[in-house]
Amino acid sequence: MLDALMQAFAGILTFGTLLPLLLGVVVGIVIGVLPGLGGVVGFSLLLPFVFNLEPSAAIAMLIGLAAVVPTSDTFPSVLMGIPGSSGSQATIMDGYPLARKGQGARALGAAFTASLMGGLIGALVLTAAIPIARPLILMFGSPELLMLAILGLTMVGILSAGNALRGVLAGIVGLMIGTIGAAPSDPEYRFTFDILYLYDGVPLIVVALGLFAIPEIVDLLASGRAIAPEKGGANMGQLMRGIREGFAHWRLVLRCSGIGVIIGAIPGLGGSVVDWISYSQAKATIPNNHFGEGDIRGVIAPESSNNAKEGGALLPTLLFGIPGSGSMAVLLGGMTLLGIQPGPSMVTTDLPITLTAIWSLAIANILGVVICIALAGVIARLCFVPFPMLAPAILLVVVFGAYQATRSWGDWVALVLLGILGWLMKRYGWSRPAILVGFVLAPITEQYFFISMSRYGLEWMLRPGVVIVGVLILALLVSGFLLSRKEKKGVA
Amino acid sequence: MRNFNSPMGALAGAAMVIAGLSVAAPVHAQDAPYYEGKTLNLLVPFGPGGGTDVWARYLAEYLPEAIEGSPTVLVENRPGGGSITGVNHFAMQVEPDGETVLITSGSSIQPYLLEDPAVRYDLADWRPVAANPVGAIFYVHPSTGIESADDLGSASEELYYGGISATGNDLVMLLIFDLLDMNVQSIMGYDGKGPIRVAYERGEVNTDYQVTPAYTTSVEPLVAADQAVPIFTFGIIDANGDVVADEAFPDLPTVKDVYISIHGEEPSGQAWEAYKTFLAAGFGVQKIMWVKNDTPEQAVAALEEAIRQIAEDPEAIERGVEVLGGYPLLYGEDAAAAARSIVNADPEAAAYAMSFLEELGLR
Repeated sequence: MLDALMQAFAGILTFGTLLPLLLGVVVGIVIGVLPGLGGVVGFSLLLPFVFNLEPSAAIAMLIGLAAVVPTSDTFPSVLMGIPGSSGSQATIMDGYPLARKGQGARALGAAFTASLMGGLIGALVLTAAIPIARPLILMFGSPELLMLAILGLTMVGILSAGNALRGVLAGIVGLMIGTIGAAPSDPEYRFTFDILYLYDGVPLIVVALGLFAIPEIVDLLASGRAIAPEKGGANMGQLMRGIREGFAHWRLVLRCSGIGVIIGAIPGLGGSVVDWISYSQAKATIPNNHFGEGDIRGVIAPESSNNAKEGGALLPTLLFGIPGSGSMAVLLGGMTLLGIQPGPSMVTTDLPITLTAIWSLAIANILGVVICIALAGVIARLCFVPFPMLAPAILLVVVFGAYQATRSWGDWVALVLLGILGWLMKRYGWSRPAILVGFVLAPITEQYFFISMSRYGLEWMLRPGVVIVGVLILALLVSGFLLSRKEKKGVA
Repeated sequence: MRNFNSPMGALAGAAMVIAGLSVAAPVHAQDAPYYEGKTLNLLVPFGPGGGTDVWARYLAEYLPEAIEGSPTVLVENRPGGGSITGVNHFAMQVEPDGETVLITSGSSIQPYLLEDPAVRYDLADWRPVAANPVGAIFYVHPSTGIESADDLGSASEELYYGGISATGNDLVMLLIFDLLDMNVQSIMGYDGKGPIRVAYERGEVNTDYQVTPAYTTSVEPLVAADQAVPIFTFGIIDANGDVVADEAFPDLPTVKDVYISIHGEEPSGQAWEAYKTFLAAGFGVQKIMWVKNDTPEQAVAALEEAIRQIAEDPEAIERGVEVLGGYPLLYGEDAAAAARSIVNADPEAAAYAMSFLEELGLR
């Protein structure tokens, strides 16, 4: 294995492989920076090149893209409070408050360091887990997946600590929006009102942009000021400070990367909740935190997990042909074009391809972070520009990004309606993350509940995996409750 | 890809058309190949990366050279509504000039046959220029005690089948269970065939089918490890609309053979007609490239000739093993014959399928 690993490394260090890898990284960075455009759009830009490349070079290019999107999508999340892609929503929670205090560069520095370490940990775990991953993945049956979805839903309570009732209500609204469209287990359409746009449900990125981007743009325009009204010190100094903080919190990085890898590797849960889960568990377990008000740890937690997730997501993609995230689904398509069918052979005859993928993941993470840090100082200055000068461009990008979801005018209607909802929620102090988490988990929860019940009846509740996750849910809830009570006492 | 390439492609196309007008104007129209200076759009009603998209992109790689006049070829993704959105778009808003062709899979055909109210297209208005069949193999876990088709009625444990949606390709499997008097509990709602195979491997279900390419790479290792037993193939629809043996698995009986050995007679009647219709829609012509009936003959001829070249190009066949599933790319009369069983589907067959689903409580 070690020998093969070195061989793959030598293979990737050739011009013919490094160049496509770099192309993937550059496209990935651009895609990540533009709000609303995620890995899927990037892949469709690169797919036409796939056919004419050597398989290893093509894999390097596609992985290079997937690896850096969760790095560069931090820019809009931190600097503008707009999710750069569906993987970095939680970064907004603390990254954006930091930017408003004039410390955007610091948040970026910490985020990129966390991304780098998370990405490398993801590649490392992937290497170690490849030989043993099959039985591990097979441990997760539908009942266990259902419990993990419920675990995700309990995050709603933690995210809205102090305002639990409103949080739960918002989560329910999210669940309801998530039920729009085709039912997961019945040939039945719900809440579609005969509008074809609603048949597939509202796209996640439109929900995210509507809830977060539109309200921010409206409020900033109304104030007429810059995102960061005051300067928080020299940008380069802040960037370095953030990088140091990223390394200083290595234990948090390690923990959140672990969460990212595991959730990424479990097929069927989807990558879009990884950042929320690691953010919420950090919030529930770190004493004396100021999460939500610009705590640097609130940036580090989601950023380390969303890069680590891609390493985990490669496992089910390569070993079973089931994509662990949206961009992995397109990677699978690219592999078919190359004549590579994922499956057990990825650890035997096709092992070189797998190892190339791992190396590409590691190298792309390093390249991506270097490029992003080089850009950070300049881009962070955008925060100090009066917003009305930025608004037309940002609005255009957001509207364009939303339209990429299905390319029908329904995307715009949904964006505006959700934007109004988001603005009202922001104004009156309702939890927008709770809506998002509910929305993302609605179809998964329903689907696995339906399958569990029709296959096992009520017996699914007694399965060991179900009990273990159940205990974990209780522990997190209790810990979150105790922490918030202690803090309230401390304040009083 | 459309957002970037298409406007550029359209610009380039427009530029070429203008250039063509000014430079090539004196030349007789019929001398110039139809597609010269034009852009051919392959409209895919699914997102990028799926099976249908990959099939289109595979063709897009060979079409520019194969089509006389060397047009620019673009893949245009229009996902939504389980592919109905994109197909409706083709039906209602695309000119019959042969410059946009539609690529469908079974997911676009089944709602048409089942008269989904969202469908605004009539397949009889179009003709296929290329089609691609695929085979499917039914297999069970050894723990069921089933070793061959003869044991289907005497399983030693309850049979579970995992599906995606009863109105999709799983309808074919459900019809088979009915035709062969099999008692199987069906669980719908899985994400895709990959997740179902994983559910099989962890024992959540103990019966499954996979199409040929997925079967070869992922199920054959299970068979070798005594974790799966292949029982029968769905069979292939031939030019006469009959179910015949799958040449990829000549040793396995087809559903038809199993039916005969169970019932002692050739299958017939509405259930069998429904099976053949939906087998054709979901597998027999799993991928189809359509043009509208009013498309200029010149354009259709150029496309058909191009598909013929690709289908006979050894390099394209070699590279297409995974994409085409090991089955030939059909063109001309073969493609038309393959599509006929769905375009001219007996309305009673579809009606039977609908009432069948209602009886199962699945519709």
